Amino acid sequence: MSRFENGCEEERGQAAAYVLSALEQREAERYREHLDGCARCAAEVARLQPVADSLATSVSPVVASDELRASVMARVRSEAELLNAAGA
Amino acid sequence: MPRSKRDVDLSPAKLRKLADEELMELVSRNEAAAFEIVLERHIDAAFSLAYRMIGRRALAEDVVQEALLSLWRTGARYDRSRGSVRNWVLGIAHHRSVDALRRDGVRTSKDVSDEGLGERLEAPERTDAEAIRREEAGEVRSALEELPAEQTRVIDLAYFGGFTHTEIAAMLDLPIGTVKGRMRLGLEKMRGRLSVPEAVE
Repeated sequence: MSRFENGCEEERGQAAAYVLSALEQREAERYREHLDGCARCAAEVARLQPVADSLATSVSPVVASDELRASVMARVRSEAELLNAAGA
Repeated sequence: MPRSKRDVDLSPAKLRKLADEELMELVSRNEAAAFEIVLERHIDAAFSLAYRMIGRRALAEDVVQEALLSLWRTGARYDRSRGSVRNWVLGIAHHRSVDALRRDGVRTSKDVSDEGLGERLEAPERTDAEAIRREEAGEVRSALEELPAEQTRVIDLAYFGGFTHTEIAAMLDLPIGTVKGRMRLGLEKMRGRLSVPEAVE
């Protein structure tokens, strides 16, 4: 497979696999570190990330249950009270 | 319920007028009422994604609950330069769904289309914004479906199925490089179709 020419050893498809969450966890962590030092890969991820993001919003809409809303908000409110009482 | 000192400014009517980014600032100060509006705006999208990926209502609900609580707890880390709140929420929901799929091995028995009608709960089209979103969703679906089938397949297995490139390569009996190459070509082509704006750096 063709590789980038700036000395980067990553496969060209690595950014695509990364934005699709197709890397193993450890591989993804390593690639994230690589992105800090490789402008070429970082640019590739920046190009492809919005496409992956658009997939998230392309699914058939279903409504979350009232129980789910209530259960999340009950936890949030109780944590907020604790934090505010602690003066956080 | 004890009232915090800022409650006066935080009626739901006022909060609803705020943009997500402004609400997240309040969330980073532990304002539950502000979080409730963020939740109202994005919970259906997050649940739709988790349900599409996991295919089981109860497990998808667990995943969305975890994702939203993580959003609440790490709200201070939201950085608006890195994208919209919606994409951030959906990113967390996606990540958690992938974890659940890999951890619980629920993939073998899921089949969304076979679930009872009572499970389908289609969302009504309530607002203009919702109608626009549906249109955009349709465009993304077409862009994905119109790719060569081999590209649609690997993108679908990775993004919605939570499979790694190694698993996909084994499943399709292909070299890993080919799988990644198809992912890249497919995403590039979709990008062209969807006229995605250049990333702001």
